[in-house]
Amino acid sequence: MRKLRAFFARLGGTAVSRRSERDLAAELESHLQLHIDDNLRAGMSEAEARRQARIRLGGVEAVKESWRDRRGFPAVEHLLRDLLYAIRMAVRSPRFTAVAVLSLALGIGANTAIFSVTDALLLKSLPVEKPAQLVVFAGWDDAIHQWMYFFDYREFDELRRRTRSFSGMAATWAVDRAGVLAGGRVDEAQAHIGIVSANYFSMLGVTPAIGRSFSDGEAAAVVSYGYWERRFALAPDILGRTVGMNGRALTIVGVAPRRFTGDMVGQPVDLWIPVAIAPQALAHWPALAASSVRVIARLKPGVTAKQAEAEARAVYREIARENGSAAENPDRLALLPEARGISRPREHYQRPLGILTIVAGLVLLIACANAANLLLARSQARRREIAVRLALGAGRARIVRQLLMESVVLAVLAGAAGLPLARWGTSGLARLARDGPWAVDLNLAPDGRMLAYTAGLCLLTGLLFGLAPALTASGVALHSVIKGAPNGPERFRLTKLLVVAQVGLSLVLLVGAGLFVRTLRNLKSQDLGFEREHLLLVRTDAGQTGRQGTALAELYAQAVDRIGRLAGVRSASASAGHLLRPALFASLTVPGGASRKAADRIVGVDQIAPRYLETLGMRLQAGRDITDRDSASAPPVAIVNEAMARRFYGRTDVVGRRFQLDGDTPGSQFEIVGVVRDAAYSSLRDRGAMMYLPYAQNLQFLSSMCLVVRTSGEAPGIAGRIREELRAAAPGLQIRGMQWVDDAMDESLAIERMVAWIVGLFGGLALVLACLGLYGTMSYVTARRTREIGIRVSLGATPLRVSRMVLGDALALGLAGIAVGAPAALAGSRLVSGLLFGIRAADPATLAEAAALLLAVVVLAAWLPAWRAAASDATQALRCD
Amino acid sequence: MPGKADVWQGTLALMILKTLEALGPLHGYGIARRIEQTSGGLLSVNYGTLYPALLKLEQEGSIAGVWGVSENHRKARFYKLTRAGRRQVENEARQWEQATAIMSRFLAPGEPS
Repeated sequence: MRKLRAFFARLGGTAVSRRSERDLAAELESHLQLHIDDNLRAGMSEAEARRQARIRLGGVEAVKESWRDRRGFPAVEHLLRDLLYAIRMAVRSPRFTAVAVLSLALGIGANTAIFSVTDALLLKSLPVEKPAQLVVFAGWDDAIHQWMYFFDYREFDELRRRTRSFSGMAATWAVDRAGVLAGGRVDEAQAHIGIVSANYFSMLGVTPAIGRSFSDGEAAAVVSYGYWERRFALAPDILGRTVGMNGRALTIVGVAPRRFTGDMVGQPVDLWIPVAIAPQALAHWPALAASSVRVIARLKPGVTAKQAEAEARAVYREIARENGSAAENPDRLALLPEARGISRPREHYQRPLGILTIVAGLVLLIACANAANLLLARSQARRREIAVRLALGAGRARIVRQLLMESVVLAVLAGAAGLPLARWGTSGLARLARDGPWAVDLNLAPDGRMLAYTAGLCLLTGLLFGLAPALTASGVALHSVIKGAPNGPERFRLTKLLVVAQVGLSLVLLVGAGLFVRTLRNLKSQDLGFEREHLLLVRTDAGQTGRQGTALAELYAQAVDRIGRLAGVRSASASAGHLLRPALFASLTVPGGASRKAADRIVGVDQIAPRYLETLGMRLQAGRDITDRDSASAPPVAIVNEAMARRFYGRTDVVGRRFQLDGDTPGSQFEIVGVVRDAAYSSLRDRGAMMYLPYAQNLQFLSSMCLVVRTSGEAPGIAGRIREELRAAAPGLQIRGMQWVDDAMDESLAIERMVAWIVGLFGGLALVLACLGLYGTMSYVTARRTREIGIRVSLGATPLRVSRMVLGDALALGLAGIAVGAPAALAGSRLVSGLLFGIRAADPATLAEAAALLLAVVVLAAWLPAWRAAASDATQALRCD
Repeated sequence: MPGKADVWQGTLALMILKTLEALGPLHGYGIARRIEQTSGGLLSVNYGTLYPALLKLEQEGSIAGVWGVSENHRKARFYKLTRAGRRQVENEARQWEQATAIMSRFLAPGEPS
């Protein structure tokens, strides 16, 4: 109680009370008078009485000071005073402030931008209730070495009924569909449709922003906030309106909250429909029981994922036994954490984003070194001020605190200036991610996490670059400053150390930039294994038109035939897979061959039409191409690449050899009729084992169609004519994408390009910062050495020698930086070696180039100070100071 | 000031309160003189701690300060005990007695306990 009262009194003391300051002065004055009276009474002389009383009272100011400390909260008051002073200092030297703030803003902005993307894609939890309780059911697929997330709806239903470990279990799936009738128009673009069990939203703890969720089997839909905005212009009467799908009208009963876009990170859902009506609302959708679904569940409080997994496996085994299906191995069932949702792009971006985070951190460090150097130079100019304050009795800690406050204010200003830069950088990154092969669409609106990150970064930055200068500045030797003596070598040592660090860090960045730019160039200019000129790729949604088996095969034949006869087309063919996109996999065994581990039996597979290899310009090393004679009734044949031949047969002349797909009935074997050269087929980095099967002989797997068209020359207008031919061949067939192979290459290199650009950009930035830092340091050091240079000149040193001396100093700093940076650069490049292509991590040429570039910049930065030193007049120099 | 001890931390407040209890309203100078006299000249009050201590007691509501005129017609700030202050004197005095009693038992020679 007493404490509390004192607290409020002090709070009041902080805020007001100039009056009581005067009060104290009066009180001390009366104290003195009383003492003097006493002394007089004791028989002292007037003067002696006053003197004794004064001595006894001690320093009035000291008494006042300790009284003031008690009156309010001195720490807070000092902090406020420091803050105001720091702001005044920043305003008073605008040029210094601008340079320091700008360089730091670049660093902070870069870090914030990369953090935004990293957080959205890799770190952030789903915006649902208690995300840590969520798990997703997965099965390990040995054949393709991946977690598979799909189950039959029937299995989901049984799992949900029989398990006890979960407080809720929901089914979810997602497909893309064009042609949704929404807002009175048919949506030509693909809509991402979530197909979910009715409890999906309640299980996740997501309450619709308006309206409600649907019930099972209801002809209803919940739209996402973004879709509501895009297609309905946020119409307030959204509830009760309908969306048309596959000729069915679904009533919109709710709008999801803005933050929630489904549990697939990077692939936001536009509208959700009940899984039970999917067979009617989506063309060619299987019956409910056979629908594929992903199963997500919420663990009951107190149940661990391991316990739940054990129960789920037991139940799954039971279900498998009852259904008599032995296809799935229950022991391969696992519950994986679902707190951050599922994201296929995530694994591809993890390492690149990690590297970019490190790189942005390095840029910030360089900016810090720069700012620290600026502060050091300035604290030089302020030595007198600081010395006077120390002489007046300010403690060293007090001075350090003041100087740190100044650097933190600079950092906070930089953070504020960096936020717009971060916005700009974030949207650039988002564009790069959206144009990439995974079309990652992230919600990158600034949020509290981002602001907290930036604020923390500012504080850390301010302390980092402010601490060394503050400690140095406050440690001045009073007598030498007041005498006006020049500085000792101490100060130069720290300045030079910072420059060396800057050069070293810049080297690391430049080497990284060199490696990534070369990687990009190597990937693009490599011998692809197929001819890239005038090759057009046409992606269709043939698999989603309902055609299967022979119907689809007929479409293949017709489309290839019609397009092949177009003017300007040299050759046309088709395949199920898409060039430069991930291929399907198959597992195979060579009869009589050595037994192999599962992972070793996997090869990429594509199904191709006749003349496919010819159209692509893939060179056959032996045997023949697929022809029209390889029909469903002919014996099964295959073309393999050299990598596959070498892996399974240890040689490349394998025409006539046989193999069998795992899971096929024994005896149904493929005969190899051709061996083709390895190509960068499914990605520019990958030349793994591949086989090419005639589509006509493998109709059961056929599910999509991609056309490849070789034109003669530019073939203007070819896209329109292909469109027309396809429309004539199959009305309703949608073209999902048509691009020249060069564009497809660019698309598949989105991540490489992102890394190369950003590291390159940052490398350039580092170079500019290092140049600025070196220039500043050299001019400063040279200016401080005016007297020494004057003596040298008067002793007969020529201007050439003087400028050589300055340049030599700068080069020494540069070389020291390179000596420090080179091992760091080598270690760093080893870290990224997995992302390189066609170049070794320890590439001497890259290192030499980066070092040469840095030295050139060092000379450039030192040129002006050197020239100035050479032009200095001896008498002038000796007179100064 | 050789030969004199500074007032120990934490005891000054109680000495001030006790002085005011004994003598009634008194100014800062008077309080200091009284403490020094009571200690038989063994203690020396540092004014750099006296006035903050008075302020603290005032903030806590144990004493109240008011301007008045001293016996020799000097303007001075007089402090007097509040009701809360009186309670505090009793409490703290009791605690001190306890503490000193305990300490003296330790300091008494040869007493097993």
